Amino acid sequence: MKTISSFSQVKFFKSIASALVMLLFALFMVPFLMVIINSAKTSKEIIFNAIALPDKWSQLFINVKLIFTNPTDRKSVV
Amino acid sequence: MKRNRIVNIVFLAPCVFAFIMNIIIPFGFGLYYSMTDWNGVNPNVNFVGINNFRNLFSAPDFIYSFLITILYTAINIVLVNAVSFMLSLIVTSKFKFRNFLRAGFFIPYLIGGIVLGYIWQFIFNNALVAIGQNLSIGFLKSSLLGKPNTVIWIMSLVNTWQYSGYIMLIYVAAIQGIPASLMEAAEVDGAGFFTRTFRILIPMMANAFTISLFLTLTTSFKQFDMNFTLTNGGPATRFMDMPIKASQLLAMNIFNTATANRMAEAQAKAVILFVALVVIALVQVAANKKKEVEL
Repeated sequence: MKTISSFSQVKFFKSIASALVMLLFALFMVPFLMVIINSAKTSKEIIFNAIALPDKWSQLFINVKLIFTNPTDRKSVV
Repeated sequence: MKRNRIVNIVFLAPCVFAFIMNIIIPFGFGLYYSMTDWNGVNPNVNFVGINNFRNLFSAPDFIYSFLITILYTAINIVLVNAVSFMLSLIVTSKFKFRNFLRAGFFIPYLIGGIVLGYIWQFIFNNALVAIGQNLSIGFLKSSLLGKPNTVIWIMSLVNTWQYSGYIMLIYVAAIQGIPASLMEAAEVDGAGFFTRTFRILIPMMANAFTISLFLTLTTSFKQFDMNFTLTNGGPATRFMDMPIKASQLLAMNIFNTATANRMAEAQAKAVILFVALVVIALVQVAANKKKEVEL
């Protein structure tokens, strides 16, 4: 009985540790998530809705297109 | 024998030439200019001896930058190495996604300091402020980068986020170099996780700690790019009854002095930065090497 109890206790602590590790990993990834979300926003949206999701995800394609059509950006990319 | 000597000289010559041209001569020029009144433009250069150095020790902005750089370095040494060691324990454990995590924790190191400075500036100036205002969290209602007493901690946090994945890899290599049989034997003998970590793992990783502490110390002491984009030295504060920039580290102080056409003064500051860094790094390496032998 004691063995089963200690076994489940170990399992419990392992689950807690796993959850904490995944939380730490998520925190590490927050800046990248912000970059991805903001890349699909207009400048106005970024300023006024800093933490909101983009109104239209299609804005991402418009922003990417801008990189290749704006002469200054295109030169930097190349 | 003589032929071998000639071959050695021929092979060594390009490296020695590059070293002299890129390191020794610029360093000599730098040392010379630190003892002149050169402003970077005027062709008339006058020798002023150690006047530039003497003036620096009464300049509040330089003293403050020097002290804040030491504080920033000390915080980073502790934070980066503690987090990296913890991460290395995670990614060398039997955790299911350990390889995925290893790659994930390393990614921040791949981003340049300029880009990550702007990303974190947005997070602290916009995203966290929006969260603070929406959820009425007092200390987040205004930017943490705008407060003189929190800005250095925030910079250290960002630096930890960037470098811990890199330092983690050094610790991972050291952990993997320790024979598994040793850890298993300790486990069989009844040693718990903490006993194994502090009595076996850490002493056997002493050389990894020497390298990691050295890397953290030197990169923190020379920090510029992230400082430039994240805070640009701000906010303003007072030191020795003078207004100064609260987060202006030594490298940025040198940059600002040089771009203000005070080249000789900037060069004197750079010489002091170099000497301080060499002395501190040598002391750290010597202390760690001594500890390695003891362990």
